[in-house]
Amino acid sequence: MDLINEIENTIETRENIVEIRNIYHSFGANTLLKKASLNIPRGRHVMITGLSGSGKTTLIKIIAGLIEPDQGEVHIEGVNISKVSRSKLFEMRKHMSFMFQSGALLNNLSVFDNIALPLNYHMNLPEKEIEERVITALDQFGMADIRESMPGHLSMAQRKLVGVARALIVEPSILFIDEPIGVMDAIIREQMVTSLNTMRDNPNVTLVTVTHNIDYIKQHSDYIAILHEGRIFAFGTRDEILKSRDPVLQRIMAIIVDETEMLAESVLGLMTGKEDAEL
Amino acid sequence: MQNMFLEIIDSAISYQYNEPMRFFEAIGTWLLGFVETFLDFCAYNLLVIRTIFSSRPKGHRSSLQVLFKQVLFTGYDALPVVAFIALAIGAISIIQSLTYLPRIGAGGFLGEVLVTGIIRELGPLITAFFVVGRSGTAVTTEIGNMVVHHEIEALESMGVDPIRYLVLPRIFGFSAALVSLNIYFDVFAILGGFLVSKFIIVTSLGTFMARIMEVLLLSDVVLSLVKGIIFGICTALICTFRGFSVRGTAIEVPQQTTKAVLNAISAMFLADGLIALIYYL
Repeated sequence: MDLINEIENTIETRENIVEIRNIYHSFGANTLLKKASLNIPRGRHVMITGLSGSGKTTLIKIIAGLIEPDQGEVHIEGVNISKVSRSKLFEMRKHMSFMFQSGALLNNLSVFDNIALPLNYHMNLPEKEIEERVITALDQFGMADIRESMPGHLSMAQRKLVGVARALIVEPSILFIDEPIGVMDAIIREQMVTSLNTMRDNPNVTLVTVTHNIDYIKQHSDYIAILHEGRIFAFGTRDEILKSRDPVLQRIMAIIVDETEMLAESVLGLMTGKEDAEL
Repeated sequence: MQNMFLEIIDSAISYQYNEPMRFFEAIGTWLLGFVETFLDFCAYNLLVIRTIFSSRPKGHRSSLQVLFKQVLFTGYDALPVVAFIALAIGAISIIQSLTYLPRIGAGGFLGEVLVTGIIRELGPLITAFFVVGRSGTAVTTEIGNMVVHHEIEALESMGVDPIRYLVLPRIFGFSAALVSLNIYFDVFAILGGFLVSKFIIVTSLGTFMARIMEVLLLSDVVLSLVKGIIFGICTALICTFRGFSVRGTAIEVPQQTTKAVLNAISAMFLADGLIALIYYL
Protein backbone atom coordinates (compact mmCIF):
# COMPACT_ATOMS: atom_id res chain seq x y z
CA MET A 1 0.00 0.00 0.00
CA ASP A 2 2.88 2.32 0.87
CA LEU A 3 4.51 1.57 -2.44
CA ILE A 4 1.32 2.42 -4.30
CA ASN A 5 1.03 5.69 -2.37
CA GLU A 6 4.65 6.49 -3.12
CA ILE A 7 4.15 5.88 -6.84
CA GLU A 8 0.99 7.98 -6.77
CA ASN A 9 2.81 10.78 -4.96
CA THR A 10 5.71 10.65 -7.38
CA ILE A 11 3.32 10.94 -10.28
CA GLU A 12 1.35 13.73 -8.66
CA THR A 13 4.48 15.75 -7.88
CA ARG A 14 5.97 15.41 -11.36
CA GLU A 15 7.11 18.65 -12.90
CA ASN A 16 4.74 20.30 -15.34
CA ILE A 17 5.76 19.95 -18.95
CA VAL A 18 3.64 22.93 -20.02
CA GLU A 19 2.71 25.99 -18.00
CA ILE A 20 0.54 28.79 -19.32
CA ARG A 21 0.24 31.99 -17.37
CA ASN A 22 -2.36 34.74 -17.64
CA ILE A 23 -3.17 34.36 -21.32
CA TYR A 24 -5.28 37.02 -22.96
CA HIS A 25 -6.38 36.76 -26.56
CA SER A 26 -8.93 38.57 -28.71
CA PHE A 27 -10.25 38.27 -32.23
CA GLY A 28 -11.28 41.81 -33.12
CA ALA A 29 -13.66 43.03 -30.44
CA ASN A 30 -14.30 39.49 -29.20
CA THR A 31 -12.08 38.67 -26.21
CA LEU A 32 -11.87 34.89 -26.09
CA LEU A 33 -9.30 34.32 -23.38
CA LYS A 34 -9.03 36.41 -20.22
CA LYS A 35 -6.26 35.52 -17.82
CA ALA A 36 -6.26 31.80 -18.66
CA SER A 37 -3.67 29.84 -16.66
CA LEU A 38 -3.03 26.11 -16.65
CA ASN A 39 -0.28 23.64 -15.70
CA ILE A 40 -0.05 20.41 -17.65
CA PRO A 41 1.60 17.52 -15.81
CA ARG A 42 4.17 15.46 -17.68
CA GLY A 43 3.13 12.08 -19.03
CA ARG A 44 -0.60 12.56 -18.47
CA HIS A 45 -3.62 13.02 -20.70
CA VAL A 46 -5.14 16.44 -20.05
CA MET A 47 -8.43 17.20 -21.72
CA ILE A 48 -9.62 20.76 -22.12
CA THR A 49 -13.33 21.15 -22.57
CA GLY A 50 -15.88 23.92 -22.48
CA LEU A 51 -18.95 25.22 -24.20
CA SER A 52 -19.04 25.82 -27.94
CA GLY A 53 -17.14 28.96 -28.87
CA SER A 54 -15.38 29.15 -25.51
CA GLY A 55 -11.97 29.34 -27.19
CA LYS A 56 -10.75 25.75 -26.73
CA THR A 57 -9.09 25.50 -30.14
CA THR A 58 -7.53 28.95 -29.75
CA LEU A 59 -6.14 27.95 -26.36
CA ILE A 60 -4.57 24.70 -27.59
CA LYS A 61 -3.04 26.53 -30.56
CA ILE A 62 -1.60 29.13 -28.19
CA ILE A 63 -0.17 26.36 -26.00
CA ALA A 64 1.39 24.73 -29.08
CA GLY A 65 2.86 28.08 -30.13
CA LEU A 66 0.82 28.29 -33.33
CA ILE A 67 -0.94 31.48 -32.24
CA GLU A 68 0.82 34.24 -30.37
CA PRO A 69 -1.31 35.43 -27.45
CA ASP A 70 -2.01 39.14 -26.94
CA GLN A 71 -0.64 38.82 -23.41
CA GLY A 72 0.69 36.09 -21.18
CA GLU A 73 3.33 33.40 -21.27
CA VAL A 74 3.54 29.80 -22.40
CA HIS A 75 6.38 27.72 -20.98
CA ILE A 76 7.19 24.36 -22.52
CA GLU A 77 9.84 22.36 -20.66
CA GLY A 78 10.54 25.55 -18.75
CA VAL A 79 11.21 27.58 -21.89
CA ASN A 80 9.10 30.67 -22.54
CA ILE A 81 8.21 30.07 -26.17
CA SER A 82 7.42 33.71 -26.92
CA LYS A 83 11.01 34.63 -26.00
CA VAL A 84 12.86 32.00 -28.04
CA SER A 85 14.09 32.57 -31.58
CA ARG A 86 12.08 31.31 -34.51
CA SER A 87 14.61 28.61 -35.35
CA LYS A 88 14.72 27.43 -31.72
CA LEU A 89 10.93 27.20 -31.71
CA PHE A 90 11.00 25.05 -34.85
CA GLU A 91 13.69 22.93 -33.21
CA MET A 92 11.47 22.47 -30.13
CA ARG A 93 8.52 21.50 -32.31
CA LYS A 94 10.43 18.47 -33.60
CA HIS A 95 9.39 16.81 -30.36
CA MET A 96 5.77 17.90 -30.48
CA SER A 97 2.91 17.05 -32.77
CA PHE A 98 -0.45 18.64 -33.40
CA MET A 99 -3.49 16.79 -34.67
CA PHE A 100 -5.85 19.19 -36.34
CA GLN A 101 -9.62 18.90 -36.32
CA SER A 102 -9.66 18.69 -40.12
CA GLY A 103 -6.46 16.67 -40.50
CA ALA A 104 -4.79 19.69 -42.19
CA LEU A 105 -3.00 17.51 -44.72
CA LEU A 106 -0.92 19.13 -47.43
CA ASN A 107 -3.20 18.91 -50.44
CA ASN A 108 -0.41 18.80 -53.01
CA LEU A 109 1.27 15.79 -51.42
CA SER A 110 0.12 12.17 -51.47
CA VAL A 111 -0.81 10.37 -48.25
CA PHE A 112 2.65 8.77 -48.22
CA ASP A 113 4.47 12.08 -48.70
CA ASN A 114 2.32 13.77 -46.06
CA ILE A 115 3.32 11.21 -43.45
CA ALA A 116 6.95 11.17 -44.58
CA LEU A 117 7.29 14.97 -44.55
CA PRO A 118 8.45 15.47 -40.94
CA LEU A 119 10.96 12.63 -41.34
CA ASN A 120 12.25 13.98 -44.65
CA TYR A 121 12.62 17.45 -43.19
CA HIS A 122 14.13 16.75 -39.79
CA MET A 123 16.07 13.54 -40.16
CA ASN A 124 18.78 12.52 -42.51
CA LEU A 125 17.46 8.98 -42.79
CA PRO A 126 17.98 6.73 -45.80
CA GLU A 127 14.99 6.73 -48.13
CA LYS A 128 14.45 3.01 -47.51
CA GLU A 129 14.10 3.53 -43.76
CA ILE A 130 11.65 6.38 -44.20
CA GLU A 131 9.59 4.22 -46.55
CA GLU A 132 9.53 1.37 -44.02
CA ARG A 133 8.44 3.65 -41.20
CA VAL A 134 5.67 5.23 -43.26
CA ILE A 135 4.41 1.85 -44.47
CA THR A 136 4.35 0.57 -40.86
CA ALA A 137 2.30 3.62 -39.85
CA LEU A 138 -0.08 3.14 -42.79
CA ASP A 139 -0.51 -0.56 -41.95
CA GLN A 140 -1.22 0.29 -38.32
CA PHE A 141 -4.24 2.32 -39.45
CA GLY A 142 -5.26 -0.03 -42.24
CA MET A 143 -4.50 2.57 -44.88
CA ALA A 144 -1.91 0.75 -46.99
CA ASP A 145 -4.19 0.87 -50.03
CA ILE A 146 -4.47 4.65 -50.03
CA ARG A 147 -0.76 5.47 -49.76
CA GLU A 148 -0.64 7.12 -53.20
CA SER A 149 -4.03 8.86 -52.87
CA MET A 150 -4.21 12.63 -52.72
CA PRO A 151 -5.92 14.16 -49.66
CA GLY A 152 -8.69 15.61 -51.82
CA HIS A 153 -9.89 12.09 -52.58
CA LEU A 154 -10.18 11.00 -48.94
CA SER A 155 -13.13 11.13 -46.56
CA MET A 156 -12.90 13.43 -43.54
CA ALA A 157 -12.34 10.44 -41.24
CA GLN A 158 -9.53 9.12 -43.45
CA ARG A 159 -7.91 12.55 -43.51
CA LYS A 160 -8.00 12.62 -39.73
CA LEU A 161 -6.41 9.18 -39.54
CA VAL A 162 -3.63 10.24 -41.91
CA GLY A 163 -3.20 13.29 -39.68
CA VAL A 164 -2.80 10.97 -36.68
CA ALA A 165 -0.27 8.83 -38.52
CA ARG A 166 1.71 11.96 -39.46
CA ALA A 167 1.58 13.24 -35.89
CA LEU A 168 2.72 9.95 -34.38
CA ILE A 169 5.49 9.06 -36.81
CA VAL A 170 7.96 11.45 -35.17
CA GLU A 171 7.32 9.82 -31.76
CA PRO A 172 6.48 13.11 -30.06
CA SER A 173 6.87 13.81 -26.36
CA ILE A 174 3.87 16.17 -26.42
CA LEU A 175 0.85 15.53 -28.58
CA PHE A 176 -1.76 18.25 -29.00
CA ILE A 177 -5.08 16.97 -30.27
CA ASP A 178 -7.97 19.11 -31.46
CA GLU A 179 -11.29 17.20 -31.37
CA PRO A 180 -10.08 13.66 -32.09
CA ILE A 181 -13.57 12.12 -32.16
CA GLY A 182 -15.67 13.88 -34.74
CA VAL A 183 -17.69 12.74 -37.70
CA MET A 184 -16.44 9.18 -38.19
CA ASP A 185 -17.78 5.67 -38.15
CA ALA A 186 -17.31 3.27 -35.23
CA ILE A 187 -14.41 1.33 -36.79
CA ILE A 188 -12.32 4.38 -37.55
CA ARG A 189 -13.17 5.84 -34.14
CA GLU A 190 -11.95 2.64 -32.51
CA GLN A 191 -8.68 2.79 -34.47
CA MET A 192 -8.21 6.40 -33.44
CA VAL A 193 -8.93 5.76 -29.74
CA THR A 194 -6.66 2.69 -29.68
CA SER A 195 -3.75 4.64 -31.17
CA LEU A 196 -4.20 7.51 -28.78
CA ASN A 197 -4.48 5.14 -25.82
CA THR A 198 -1.20 3.52 -26.86
CA MET A 199 0.33 6.98 -26.66
CA ARG A 200 -1.40 7.58 -23.34
CA ASP A 201 0.14 4.40 -21.91
CA ASN A 202 3.60 5.71 -22.71
CA PRO A 203 4.80 7.64 -19.63
CA ASN A 204 7.12 9.76 -21.78
CA VAL A 205 4.26 11.20 -23.79
CA THR A 206 1.97 14.00 -22.65
CA LEU A 207 -1.35 14.37 -24.40
CA VAL A 208 -3.29 17.61 -24.45
CA THR A 209 -6.71 17.19 -26.00
CA VAL A 210 -9.44 19.66 -26.75
CA THR A 211 -12.77 17.93 -27.01
CA HIS A 212 -16.42 18.39 -26.65
CA ASN A 213 -17.21 14.69 -26.40
CA ILE A 214 -18.16 13.97 -22.81
CA ASP A 215 -18.00 10.16 -23.21
CA TYR A 216 -14.45 10.38 -24.50
CA ILE A 217 -13.52 12.64 -21.58
CA LYS A 218 -15.05 10.25 -19.04
CA GLN A 219 -13.21 7.25 -20.42
CA HIS A 220 -9.80 8.48 -21.45
CA SER A 221 -8.74 11.57 -19.49
CA ASP A 222 -6.36 11.79 -16.54
CA TYR A 223 -7.03 15.46 -15.90
CA ILE A 224 -9.83 17.74 -17.02
CA ALA A 225 -9.66 21.50 -17.51
CA ILE A 226 -12.90 23.43 -17.96
CA LEU A 227 -12.58 26.57 -20.04
CA HIS A 228 -15.34 29.00 -19.22
CA GLU A 229 -15.70 32.74 -19.83
CA GLY A 230 -12.16 33.00 -21.12
CA ARG A 231 -10.34 31.36 -18.24
CA ILE A 232 -9.70 27.91 -16.81
CA PHE A 233 -12.71 27.70 -14.53
CA ALA A 234 -11.79 24.33 -13.05
CA PHE A 235 -8.86 21.94 -13.29
CA GLY A 236 -8.42 18.62 -11.56
CA THR A 237 -8.28 14.89 -11.93
CA ARG A 238 -11.08 13.21 -13.81
CA ASP A 239 -12.88 12.18 -10.61
CA GLU A 240 -12.47 15.56 -9.00
CA ILE A 241 -14.16 17.29 -11.90
CA LEU A 242 -16.80 14.71 -12.77
CA LYS A 243 -17.85 14.20 -9.15
CA SER A 244 -17.67 17.85 -8.18
CA ARG A 245 -20.70 19.30 -6.37
CA ASP A 246 -19.94 22.85 -7.50
CA PRO A 247 -23.30 24.01 -8.98
CA VAL A 248 -21.72 26.17 -11.70
CA LEU A 249 -19.40 23.36 -12.76
CA GLN A 250 -22.29 20.89 -12.78
CA ARG A 251 -24.31 23.27 -14.94
CA ILE A 252 -21.43 23.71 -17.41
CA MET A 253 -20.96 19.94 -17.60
CA ALA A 254 -24.70 19.48 -18.17
CA ILE A 255 -24.63 21.95 -21.09
CA ILE A 256 -21.58 20.18 -22.56
CA VAL A 257 -23.49 16.87 -22.30
CA ASP A 258 -26.48 18.45 -24.06
CA GLU A 259 -24.26 19.87 -26.79
CA THR A 260 -22.58 16.45 -27.25
CA GLU A 261 -25.99 14.80 -27.66
CA MET A 262 -27.20 17.46 -30.07
CA LEU A 263 -24.01 17.08 -32.11
CA ALA A 264 -24.40 13.29 -32.13
CA GLU A 265 -28.01 13.63 -33.31
CA SER A 266 -27.11 16.05 -36.08
CA VAL A 267 -24.25 13.76 -37.21
CA LEU A 268 -26.62 10.80 -37.16
CA GLY A 269 -29.14 12.86 -39.14
CA LEU A 270 -26.46 13.78 -41.65
CA MET A 271 -25.34 10.16 -42.03
CA THR A 272 -28.96 8.92 -42.38
CA GLY A 273 -29.64 11.63 -44.95
CA LYS A 274 -26.53 10.60 -46.84
CA GLU A 275 -27.60 6.95 -46.81
CA ASP A 276 -31.07 7.91 -48.06
CA ALA A 277 -29.53 9.96 -50.83
CA GLU A 278 -27.29 7.06 -51.81
CA LEU A 279 -30.24 4.67 -51.84
CA MET B 1 0.51 50.20 -58.49
CA GLN B 2 -2.12 50.70 -61.17
CA ASN B 3 -4.96 49.46 -58.98
CA MET B 4 -3.72 51.63 -56.13
CA PHE B 5 -4.16 54.70 -58.34
CA LEU B 6 -7.58 53.45 -59.38
CA GLU B 7 -8.49 53.13 -55.71
CA ILE B 8 -7.48 56.74 -55.09
CA ILE B 9 -9.43 58.01 -58.10
CA ASP B 10 -12.39 55.91 -56.99
CA SER B 11 -12.22 57.37 -53.53
CA ALA B 12 -11.93 60.86 -54.96
CA ILE B 13 -15.02 60.44 -57.15
CA SER B 14 -17.04 59.02 -54.26
CA TYR B 15 -16.13 61.65 -51.75
CA GLN B 16 -15.47 64.91 -53.55
CA TYR B 17 -19.14 65.86 -53.83
CA ASN B 18 -19.93 64.94 -50.23
CA GLU B 19 -17.21 66.10 -47.96
CA PRO B 20 -13.90 67.44 -49.19
CA MET B 21 -12.21 66.31 -46.00
CA ARG B 22 -13.16 62.69 -46.63
CA PHE B 23 -11.17 62.79 -49.87
CA PHE B 24 -8.03 63.48 -47.86
CA GLU B 25 -9.11 60.87 -45.35
CA ALA B 26 -9.29 58.32 -48.17
CA ILE B 27 -5.82 59.30 -49.38
CA GLY B 28 -4.50 59.08 -45.83
CA THR B 29 -6.05 55.65 -45.33
CA TRP B 30 -4.58 54.39 -48.58
CA LEU B 31 -1.17 55.84 -47.75
CA LEU B 32 -1.13 54.25 -44.31
CA GLY B 33 -2.16 50.92 -45.82
CA PHE B 34 0.58 51.21 -48.43
CA VAL B 35 3.23 52.03 -45.82
CA GLU B 36 2.05 49.18 -43.60
CA THR B 37 2.19 46.66 -46.46
CA PHE B 38 5.61 47.96 -47.54
CA LEU B 39 6.99 47.62 -44.01
CA ASP B 40 5.49 44.12 -43.73
CA PHE B 41 7.17 43.22 -47.01
CA CYS B 42 10.53 44.57 -45.76
CA ALA B 43 10.16 42.52 -42.55
CA TYR B 44 9.28 39.47 -44.65
CA ASN B 45 12.41 39.94 -46.77
CA LEU B 46 14.55 40.19 -43.64
CA LEU B 47 12.98 37.00 -42.34
CA VAL B 48 13.80 35.25 -45.61
CA ILE B 49 17.41 36.49 -45.50
CA ARG B 50 17.74 35.36 -41.89
CA THR B 51 16.35 31.94 -42.80
CA ILE B 52 18.88 31.58 -45.63
CA PHE B 53 21.73 32.07 -43.15
CA SER B 54 20.22 30.12 -40.25
CA SER B 55 21.19 26.51 -39.58
CA ARG B 56 19.65 23.99 -41.92
CA PRO B 57 17.54 21.06 -40.69
CA LYS B 58 19.23 17.66 -40.97
CA GLY B 59 17.18 16.36 -43.85
CA HIS B 60 16.52 18.73 -46.72
CA ARG B 61 15.10 16.21 -49.15
CA SER B 62 11.62 17.73 -48.81
CA SER B 63 12.84 21.23 -49.79
CA LEU B 64 14.77 19.78 -52.74
CA GLN B 65 11.57 18.10 -53.93
CA VAL B 66 9.78 21.48 -53.87
CA LEU B 67 12.71 23.11 -55.71
CA PHE B 68 12.73 20.41 -58.36
CA LYS B 69 8.97 20.67 -58.89
CA GLN B 70 9.20 24.47 -59.13
CA VAL B 71 11.96 24.40 -61.77
CA LEU B 72 10.02 21.76 -63.67
CA PHE B 73 6.77 23.76 -63.62
CA THR B 74 8.23 27.23 -64.09
CA GLY B 75 11.02 26.37 -66.50
CA TYR B 76 10.60 23.09 -68.33
CA ASP B 77 6.80 23.11 -68.72
CA ALA B 78 6.90 26.68 -70.01
CA LEU B 79 9.35 25.94 -72.85
CA PRO B 80 6.85 25.42 -75.71
CA VAL B 81 4.94 28.64 -75.01
CA VAL B 82 8.11 30.65 -74.44
CA ALA B 83 9.52 29.30 -77.71
CA PHE B 84 6.38 30.34 -79.55
CA ILE B 85 6.37 33.84 -78.01
CA ALA B 86 10.09 34.28 -78.68
CA LEU B 87 9.77 33.21 -82.32
CA ALA B 88 6.89 35.66 -82.77
CA ILE B 89 8.67 38.56 -81.03
CA GLY B 90 11.89 37.95 -82.99
CA ALA B 91 9.99 37.82 -86.25
CA ILE B 92 7.84 40.88 -85.50
CA SER B 93 10.88 42.93 -84.42
CA ILE B 94 12.69 42.17 -87.66
CA ILE B 95 9.60 42.86 -89.81
CA GLN B 96 9.09 46.23 -88.13
CA SER B 97 12.79 47.04 -88.30
CA LEU B 98 13.01 46.11 -91.97
CA THR B 99 10.02 48.35 -92.64
CA TYR B 100 11.08 51.45 -90.73
CA LEU B 101 14.86 51.41 -90.23
CA PRO B 102 15.75 51.86 -93.96
CA ARG B 103 13.46 54.93 -94.09
CA ILE B 104 15.71 56.71 -91.63
CA GLY B 105 18.87 55.34 -93.17
CA ALA B 106 19.48 52.82 -90.41
CA GLY B 107 18.88 49.64 -92.37
CA GLY B 108 22.18 48.17 -91.21
CA PHE B 109 21.18 48.15 -87.55
CA LEU B 110 19.15 44.96 -87.58
CA GLY B 111 21.67 43.18 -85.37
CA GLU B 112 21.60 45.98 -82.83
CA VAL B 113 17.79 45.84 -82.72
CA LEU B 114 17.86 42.15 -81.91
CA VAL B 115 20.69 42.40 -79.39
CA THR B 116 19.61 45.59 -77.60
CA GLY B 117 15.88 45.19 -77.98
CA ILE B 118 15.48 41.51 -77.39
CA ILE B 119 18.47 39.98 -75.61
CA ARG B 120 19.10 42.92 -73.31
CA GLU B 121 15.59 44.32 -72.71
CA LEU B 122 12.58 42.44 -74.05
CA GLY B 123 13.79 38.90 -73.39
CA PRO B 124 14.19 39.19 -69.61
CA LEU B 125 11.03 41.30 -69.24
CA ILE B 126 8.75 39.13 -71.36
CA THR B 127 9.91 35.87 -69.79
CA ALA B 128 9.48 37.46 -66.36
CA PHE B 129 5.93 38.62 -67.19
CA PHE B 130 5.17 35.18 -68.48
CA VAL B 131 6.51 33.56 -65.31
CA VAL B 132 4.58 36.00 -63.08
CA GLY B 133 1.35 35.27 -64.94
CA ARG B 134 1.81 31.54 -65.04
CA SER B 135 3.86 30.46 -62.02
CA GLY B 136 3.68 33.50 -59.75
CA THR B 137 -0.11 33.37 -59.63
CA ALA B 138 0.04 29.62 -59.03
CA VAL B 139 2.38 30.14 -56.07
CA THR B 140 0.23 32.89 -54.51
CA THR B 141 -2.90 30.79 -54.93
CA GLU B 142 -1.22 27.69 -53.56
CA ILE B 143 0.14 29.41 -50.45
CA GLY B 144 -3.10 31.37 -49.94
CA ASN B 145 -5.10 28.16 -50.03
CA MET B 146 -2.61 26.53 -47.68
CA VAL B 147 -3.27 29.34 -45.18
CA VAL B 148 -7.04 28.92 -45.55
CA HIS B 149 -6.86 25.14 -45.05
CA HIS B 150 -4.51 25.41 -42.04
CA GLU B 151 -1.70 23.70 -43.96
CA ILE B 152 0.78 26.41 -42.97
CA GLU B 153 -0.15 25.87 -39.33
CA ALA B 154 0.29 22.14 -39.89
CA LEU B 155 3.82 22.73 -41.26
CA GLU B 156 4.69 24.92 -38.28
CA SER B 157 3.29 22.36 -35.86
CA MET B 158 5.64 19.74 -37.34
CA GLY B 159 8.58 22.09 -36.90
CA VAL B 160 8.79 22.62 -40.66
CA ASP B 161 9.71 26.25 -41.32
CA PRO B 162 7.35 27.46 -44.09
CA ILE B 163 9.97 29.97 -45.28
CA ARG B 164 12.59 27.26 -45.68
CA TYR B 165 10.17 24.70 -47.07
CA LEU B 166 8.03 26.89 -49.35
CA VAL B 167 9.81 30.18 -50.03
CA LEU B 168 13.53 29.38 -50.45
CA PRO B 169 12.93 26.65 -53.07
CA ARG B 170 10.73 29.15 -54.94
CA ILE B 171 13.43 31.84 -54.91
CA PHE B 172 16.06 29.46 -56.27
CA GLY B 173 13.56 27.76 -58.57
CA PHE B 174 12.24 30.98 -60.11
CA SER B 175 15.74 32.40 -60.59
CA ALA B 176 17.09 29.22 -62.16
CA ALA B 177 14.02 28.89 -64.38
CA LEU B 178 14.13 32.54 -65.49
CA VAL B 179 17.84 32.40 -66.35
CA SER B 180 17.24 29.25 -68.41
CA LEU B 181 14.11 30.67 -70.04
CA ASN B 182 16.02 33.85 -70.93
CA ILE B 183 18.65 31.88 -72.82
CA TYR B 184 15.95 29.83 -74.46
CA PHE B 185 13.96 32.96 -75.34
CA ASP B 186 17.03 34.65 -76.87
CA VAL B 187 17.82 31.63 -79.02
CA PHE B 188 14.28 31.37 -80.37
CA ALA B 189 13.90 35.13 -80.85
CA ILE B 190 17.09 35.17 -82.93
CA LEU B 191 15.77 32.15 -84.85
CA GLY B 192 12.47 33.99 -85.48
CA GLY B 193 14.37 37.05 -86.65
CA PHE B 194 16.54 34.94 -88.93
CA LEU B 195 13.56 33.13 -90.51
CA VAL B 196 11.91 36.44 -91.40
CA SER B 197 15.08 38.03 -92.72
CA LYS B 198 15.78 34.87 -94.76
CA PHE B 199 12.50 35.31 -96.59
CA ILE B 200 12.51 39.10 -96.90
CA ILE B 201 16.11 40.03 -97.52
CA VAL B 202 17.35 36.55 -98.41
CA THR B 203 20.20 36.37 -95.93
CA SER B 204 22.12 33.25 -94.99
CA LEU B 205 22.33 31.93 -91.44
CA GLY B 206 26.08 32.52 -91.45
CA THR B 207 25.77 36.19 -92.42
CA PHE B 208 22.92 36.72 -90.00
CA MET B 209 24.75 35.13 -87.06
CA ALA B 210 27.98 36.92 -87.93
CA ARG B 211 26.15 40.24 -87.71
CA ILE B 212 24.56 39.27 -84.39
CA MET B 213 27.91 38.12 -82.95
CA GLU B 214 29.51 41.34 -84.15
CA VAL B 215 27.26 43.48 -82.00
CA LEU B 216 26.66 41.03 -79.15
CA LEU B 217 28.88 41.72 -76.16
CA LEU B 218 29.54 39.44 -73.25
CA SER B 219 28.06 42.14 -71.03
CA ASP B 220 24.73 41.85 -72.90
CA VAL B 221 24.52 38.15 -72.10
CA VAL B 222 25.60 38.69 -68.49
CA LEU B 223 23.09 41.53 -68.09
CA SER B 224 20.30 39.38 -69.48
CA LEU B 225 21.13 36.57 -67.04
CA VAL B 226 21.52 38.92 -64.08
CA LYS B 227 18.10 40.34 -64.88
CA GLY B 228 16.73 36.80 -64.90
CA ILE B 229 18.12 36.20 -61.40
CA ILE B 230 16.84 39.54 -60.03
CA PHE B 231 13.40 39.17 -61.61
CA GLY B 232 13.20 35.61 -60.30
CA ILE B 233 13.97 36.75 -56.75
CA CYS B 234 11.45 39.63 -57.00
CA THR B 235 8.71 37.38 -58.37
CA ALA B 236 9.23 34.68 -55.75
CA LEU B 237 9.36 37.13 -52.85
CA ILE B 238 6.30 39.14 -53.91
CA CYS B 239 4.14 36.17 -54.87
CA THR B 240 4.91 34.19 -51.70
CA PHE B 241 4.43 37.33 -49.56
CA ARG B 242 1.00 37.89 -51.10
CA GLY B 243 0.13 34.23 -50.49
CA PHE B 244 1.03 34.53 -46.82
CA SER B 245 -0.98 37.78 -46.62
CA VAL B 246 -4.20 35.75 -46.86
CA ARG B 247 -5.64 35.83 -43.36
CA GLY B 248 -8.04 32.93 -43.44
CA THR B 249 -10.90 33.30 -45.90
CA ALA B 250 -10.99 31.83 -49.39
CA ILE B 251 -12.24 35.11 -50.90
CA GLU B 252 -8.87 36.74 -50.12
CA VAL B 253 -6.98 34.30 -52.35
CA PRO B 254 -7.95 35.79 -55.74
CA GLN B 255 -7.60 39.31 -54.30
CA GLN B 256 -4.06 38.64 -53.17
CA THR B 257 -3.27 36.90 -56.46
CA THR B 258 -4.29 40.01 -58.41
CA LYS B 259 -2.18 42.17 -56.12
CA ALA B 260 0.75 39.77 -56.53
CA VAL B 261 0.65 40.16 -60.33
CA LEU B 262 0.40 43.95 -60.22
CA ASN B 263 3.10 44.29 -57.56
CA ALA B 264 5.44 41.87 -59.32
CA ILE B 265 5.08 43.59 -62.69
CA SER B 266 5.61 47.02 -61.10
CA ALA B 267 8.67 45.71 -59.26
CA MET B 268 10.01 44.27 -62.50
CA PHE B 269 9.78 47.62 -64.31
CA LEU B 270 11.35 49.37 -61.34
CA ALA B 271 14.21 46.86 -61.19
CA ASP B 272 14.69 47.04 -64.95
CA GLY B 273 14.85 50.84 -64.81
CA LEU B 274 17.39 50.74 -61.98
CA ILE B 275 19.54 48.20 -63.79
CA ALA B 276 19.44 50.30 -66.96
CA LEU B 277 20.46 53.37 -64.96
CA ILE B 278 23.38 51.53 -63.37
CA TYR B 279 24.43 49.98 -66.68
CA TYR B 280 24.31 53.10 -68.85
CA LEU B 281 25.45 55.76 -66.39
